[in-house]
Amino acid sequence: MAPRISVLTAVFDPEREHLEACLRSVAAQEFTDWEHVLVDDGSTQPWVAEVLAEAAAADPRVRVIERADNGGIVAASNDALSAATGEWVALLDHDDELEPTALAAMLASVTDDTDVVYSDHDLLRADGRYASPSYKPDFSPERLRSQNYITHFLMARRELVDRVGGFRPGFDGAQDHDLVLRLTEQARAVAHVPQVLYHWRQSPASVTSDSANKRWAFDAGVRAVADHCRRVGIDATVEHTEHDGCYRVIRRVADEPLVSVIIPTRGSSGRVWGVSRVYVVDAVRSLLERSTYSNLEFVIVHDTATPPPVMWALERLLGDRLVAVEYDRPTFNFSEKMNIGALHATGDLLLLLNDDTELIEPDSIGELVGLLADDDVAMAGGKLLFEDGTLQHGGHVYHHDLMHICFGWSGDSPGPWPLRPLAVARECSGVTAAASLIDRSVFDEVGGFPEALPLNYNDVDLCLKIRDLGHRIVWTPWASWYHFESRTRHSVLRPEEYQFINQRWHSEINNDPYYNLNLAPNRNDWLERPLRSGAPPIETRPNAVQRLAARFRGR
Amino acid sequence: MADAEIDDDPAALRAEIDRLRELVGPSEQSYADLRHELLAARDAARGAEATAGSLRGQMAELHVALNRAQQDQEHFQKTVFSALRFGRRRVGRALRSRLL
Repeated sequence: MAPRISVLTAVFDPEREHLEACLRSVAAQEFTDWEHVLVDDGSTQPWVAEVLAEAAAADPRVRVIERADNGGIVAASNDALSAATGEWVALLDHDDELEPTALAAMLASVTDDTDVVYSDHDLLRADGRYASPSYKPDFSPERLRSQNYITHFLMARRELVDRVGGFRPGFDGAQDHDLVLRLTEQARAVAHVPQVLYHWRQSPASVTSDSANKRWAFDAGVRAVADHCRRVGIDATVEHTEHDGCYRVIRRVADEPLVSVIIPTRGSSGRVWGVSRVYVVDAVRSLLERSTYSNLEFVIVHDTATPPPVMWALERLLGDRLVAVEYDRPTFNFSEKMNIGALHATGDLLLLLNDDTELIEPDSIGELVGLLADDDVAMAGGKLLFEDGTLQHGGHVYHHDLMHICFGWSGDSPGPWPLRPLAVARECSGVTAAASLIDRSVFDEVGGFPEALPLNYNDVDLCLKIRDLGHRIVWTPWASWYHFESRTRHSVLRPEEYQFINQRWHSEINNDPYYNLNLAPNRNDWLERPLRSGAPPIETRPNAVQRLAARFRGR
Repeated sequence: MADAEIDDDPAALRAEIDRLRELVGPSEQSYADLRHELLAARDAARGAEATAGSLRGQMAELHVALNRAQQDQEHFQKTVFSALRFGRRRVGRALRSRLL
């Protein structure tokens, strides 16, 4: 009977103890229905063949294939794939290690329609310690285009791997990114096991340790992502960014659809960078002067009390592109204002924009429009910065609280390592309504903003309704605005508004699929729960205590 | 403040320009200079804000590392104290059983 899981390993001149540790980690699996297919890719060290032969002699589940000469990682991995007999194949590098529960945990997460499974991983340092855990989101296709956040540990149905053609020549260095893109394009479902099941050894020649050594790998990554875009019908160019292993997909927007910019305002003024400004006028002016996207309509929903010169200035700036809508309610209700604005908009795309903003990146609107060209993306948001350049909005995270990701970090920071969420376009649970683009039909379908939430969390409710319909929401660092919201001013939080959200979305605000269970609750910065960070100074101490406690218990 | 309605009559527009020039001062250049100074001051303020923001951003990132260390330490202390309490109870029980 064929084994359930074939572990595939291409071997080429690893350190002896690393290879032995790798073999031991497979042999120690709690799940026993596996085979380990090792392909010696023409190793020059004679002991490699000896170690492999010993392993094969010791356990019939270990199968060794010798290549006459070194064919590279792709050829060797394909040889391993051809020899595999399992229903599932799992990929393991020759110097990495699996947790004893790895295969069992991966298999336990599989349902009938799961075709691909991945887990969290960490780095195995030269001193033997584990470090830099990658606590990953659930499947996030836009993010996968932007970076290979999955890397290890990956398991897929062999039938699917065969169907997509296995590893492709010409993508050495990014062959795993290329494979996982092709697998997920056709997978019925992709599962994520939020446990560190794989220890990725950090070695001097590895991308994990010194990315400058592998610029060629990132070039291969660009080609892999570009090919993927072609296959799935995304008309785009792909660039490697300043952050290693992070890519930018620049979508082409063929004919600019009309975007209705909805701005609620009361014509307030204030000082920014020491100079007075009328917020709404400067927000509009920044779009007119800087945006490369020109097919815009401006729906200004203004309070009755808005000073007339403000409206005159807008009329002069916008001419017939201005749709002025007077809001005459006695009390402020952001949701109602935006809903009224949407009623007067004629575009199929609505750009929700606060009046205290200023466009930074000229391609911002085109970037957001490009993201909404994907069928199941209904909303997209950009990066918002305070006037001092720190981050106000990097997407929402709902992890036992409702938060902006990495609030207050430097605006040009890639975000917490190793996943660097601020450097890549990615799915997230929600984006702020201060600057985001939404498909008008979806806005209507979900009934717009909840007018029961006049001040806070109305965008949270909108986003969760959108995702509840099965749509994706994407945040991108390539669209950006200043948002002159006071950093020190505490907005009025009404308990009843949080109660509303908590009652309606209790499960969703406590289980963010784009965050991770291993991360500390009520945090927005990827801080791990205690003792899951691999932080070197104290990571060994609890183990000593636990050993002591175990000794006491054993008596 | 003058009437904000804009007149299309060229003569009225010229009169308005003259009135504004009066407000600016004897030298038309002074308005340009003033504006130049204002924009330079704004840029300086903007640069200073950005420098301060960069430092604030670094502090925010360092706070994460600090919080990581603090929560690990708290967790560690809890583990140590519970182990010590457990040990103390066992020692106490052993001593009591011998004495009694």
